[in-house]
Order: sequence, then structure tokens, then C-alpha cells
Amino acid sequence: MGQLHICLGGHPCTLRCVLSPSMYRTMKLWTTAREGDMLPALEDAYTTILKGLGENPARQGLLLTPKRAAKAMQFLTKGYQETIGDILNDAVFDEDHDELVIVKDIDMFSLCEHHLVPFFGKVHIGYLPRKRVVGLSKLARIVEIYSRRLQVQERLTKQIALAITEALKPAGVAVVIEASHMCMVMRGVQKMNSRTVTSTMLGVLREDPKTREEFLALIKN
Amino acid sequence: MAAGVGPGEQPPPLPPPALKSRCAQGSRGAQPLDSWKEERTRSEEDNELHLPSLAAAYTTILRALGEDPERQGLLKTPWRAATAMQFFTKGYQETITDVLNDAIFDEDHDEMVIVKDIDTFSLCEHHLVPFVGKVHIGYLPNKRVLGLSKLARIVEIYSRRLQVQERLTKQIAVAITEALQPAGVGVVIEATHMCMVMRGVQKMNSKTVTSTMLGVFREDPKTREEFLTLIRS
Repeated sequence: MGQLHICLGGHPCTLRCVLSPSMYRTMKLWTTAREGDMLPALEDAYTTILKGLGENPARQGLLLTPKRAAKAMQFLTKGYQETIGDILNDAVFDEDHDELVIVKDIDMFSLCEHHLVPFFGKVHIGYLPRKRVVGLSKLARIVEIYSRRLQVQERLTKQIALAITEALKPAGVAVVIEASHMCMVMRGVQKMNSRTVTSTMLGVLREDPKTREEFLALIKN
Repeated sequence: MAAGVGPGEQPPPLPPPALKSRCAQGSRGAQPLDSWKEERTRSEEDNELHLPSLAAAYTTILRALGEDPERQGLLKTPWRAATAMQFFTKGYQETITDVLNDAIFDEDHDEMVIVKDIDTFSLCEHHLVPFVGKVHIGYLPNKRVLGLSKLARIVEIYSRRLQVQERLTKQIAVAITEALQPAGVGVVIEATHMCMVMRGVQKMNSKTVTSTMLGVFREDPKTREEFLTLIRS
């Protein structure tokens, strides 16, 4: 299959990669052209899964399921094809604003990398600009890029925070994610109402308790 | 008592489930749905037998998506995902007979019995993506009542499969009908389909509601209204 991650650092795609200053110039992990190539292998895998589960892949309801499931899975992991550079390049503006900017209740859908089962919830992002602000929807697009992957909630939170840090060099960034994990709800311990909350605080939002408190109060409602 | 039935009269007979042709899409291909006498399509031994091939399929999927199955977080994922998928489809290993045999009781009760807000988790058979929701079941007993948790167990058996919400609703209703021969059964399911929320049209707040009404619940509007009002509150 060849190397999956073509990072200038040359190492496998882990959190260490996100820390590298070359993030803007990171080449695409997976080009769109290869998506179509991968479809037959994915479809075969899903046909095997249907048979292995005791179903009949030839019945009417399941005839096209391997193709649909393969395309769905590709959509749910489309974040691997996108880079921060693509979406942010134009929308960073010089603005003399030095108060907290918060975008909250961003719906997020991701896949747990341990069970390949969805987890979903809300992301709240706040940052203290230092002369540069970013287009608001770009914060949501950053969430999309990192959440449409096989993820662990802790890593997702950190990746979003670091991406904003590297894009804007703000005085501080905070990201809070509250999500429900289907792997805990639908199977395993089966706790219906459990929620997992993770947060990453960088810069003044980490150093200064008052700023952090303001952020947390504003996202609470 | 069911409205429209005078004293001394029998409640109208339950119409034979007119769904044998529509429910031809049962889990065993084009065979009529006969839930009471349904045979298991899978056993624990089958599960163990198929686990390696399922895990191999998931490894292929990870590679084809552009991930590295050797990295620490993904090392055991094929096995975990395969086991999870077997759990999500464990309904194929169970039959109604297993679950119900002992818990049918003779009781001189002829008012509606409702069990509502039963959480249900199923897999959409078209995209293999979960849909989650609540099931509300009501039935009008005809001298025989069912242990209440058995209603929830019937929901579990049918929802832990590759499903279509319409079929799930009907299978639950038919199973209760065949187990108890009640005067009527009503099943309502309200669910959120991740295949519509996470992908495709991406409508976050959409819900799909399906219902099946059999017997007096279908014939008699007052009974149906009582059921729908009681599940709403």
C-alpha cells in the first residue's frame, strides 16, 4: 500500500506529527484519486463481514450494502484527505481585538478508533487573539478535518487546539469537547447517559485562571 | 374494555398478520416471516469460527481508508471491531421462544398495558451505521399477559440485527401477537438515523417515526388514540 503519511518530518502520523512546525506544508495524507481505487477492496471486506455475521448478502436489502457502507466509511474518514492549509489560507485577518472569541456548540461526529463505532457531541472553542482573527466558520472546519478520522477524543481535542495555535499564534486557545460514545452506550458497559468531557487549554487560558474561568462560564449556559 | 365491544361479546378476532408477503425480507432471504417458530441463524460457535475472517476484513478496511493498522491505537482494533459487530447483531443468535417460554401468565386483565421509552440500538442494513431511538409498546391482553421485561427483550432480539426501521416495528408487533394472541398490539418507534445525521443529507435533528397497529388498535380509533396519548405524556 505504500506510505500512508507523507509528512516532511518523515515519521508516522501521530500526535508528534501535529507538533511539527511544518504542519502548513504537510502534504495530503491521501489523495482523492486513490479513494476510488480503494472502493473494491472495501466492498469485498464488507461483503465478508456480512457473511461472517450470518447474513445473506444476496437478499434485496443487502445487495448494495457493501458499496454504500464502503462509501459511508470513506465519508466518515474524509478528514485524512484534507489539510489545515487548504481551508485556512485566506481567512486569517488582522484585527485589533484582544477579547475572548468563542464559537460553541459545534456538532461533531467522529469514529472511535478502537471499535470503529461513532462518537458524537459538541465542541466549544475559544481563543484570545493577538492581532489576528480567523473566519468563524474556519473553526468549525478545523473541527471537521480532525473529527472525520479514526480518533480518540483526547487526541481530537489536542489536535484542534494545536491547529488553531499554529494558524493564528493567539495569546491562548481553549477547546472543550463533550461527547457520547456509542461504544459505551450500545455495547460493553451500556451506560446510556454517560458523557465524556475532554479539554485542552493553551497559552493564557492555561496560565491565567480568570481567563479560563471566563471561557468556561461563557460556554456553560 | 376496548371501546365498541359490548358486554359478553368477544373482542374482534385479530386479523391474521397480513404481512407474510411484505415481510419477506426477513433475515433469511425471501422466506415468510414466522417469528415464533424462527430458527437461529447463528450460534456462539459460528461467532468464534468467523471472528478471524471478520478481523481480517477490518484490517483491510483500515488499510483501504489510509490508516496504519500497525500503530498502537489500531493494533487490536480489527478484533475489537469484529467483536463489537457480532454484539450489534447478536439478535441473530436468539429466538423468541428462548426469551418468552416461562413468562406468559393467565391474568384477568383487559385494559391496555403499555411499556414505553424502551431504548433501542440497531444497525441500518443499508449503511451499517447505527440508528438509535425509543420503542413504545402497548397491547390489550386477552386473558394472558406477558412479563414486562419480556417486551424489552423482544425489542432487543429484533433490534440487534441489520434492520430497516419499518421491518423492526412490524417484527416486534408480530412477535407479541403470536406469543399472546392479545386483542390488539401497537408498536411505535421513534429513532435517529446516524446515516442521515453523520453523512448524506446531514440533518442533525431529524427523527423517523414508524408504527404498527394490529387488532383493536387498528380497528378502533379510540383505543389507538388512548395508546398514542399515553405514550406521548
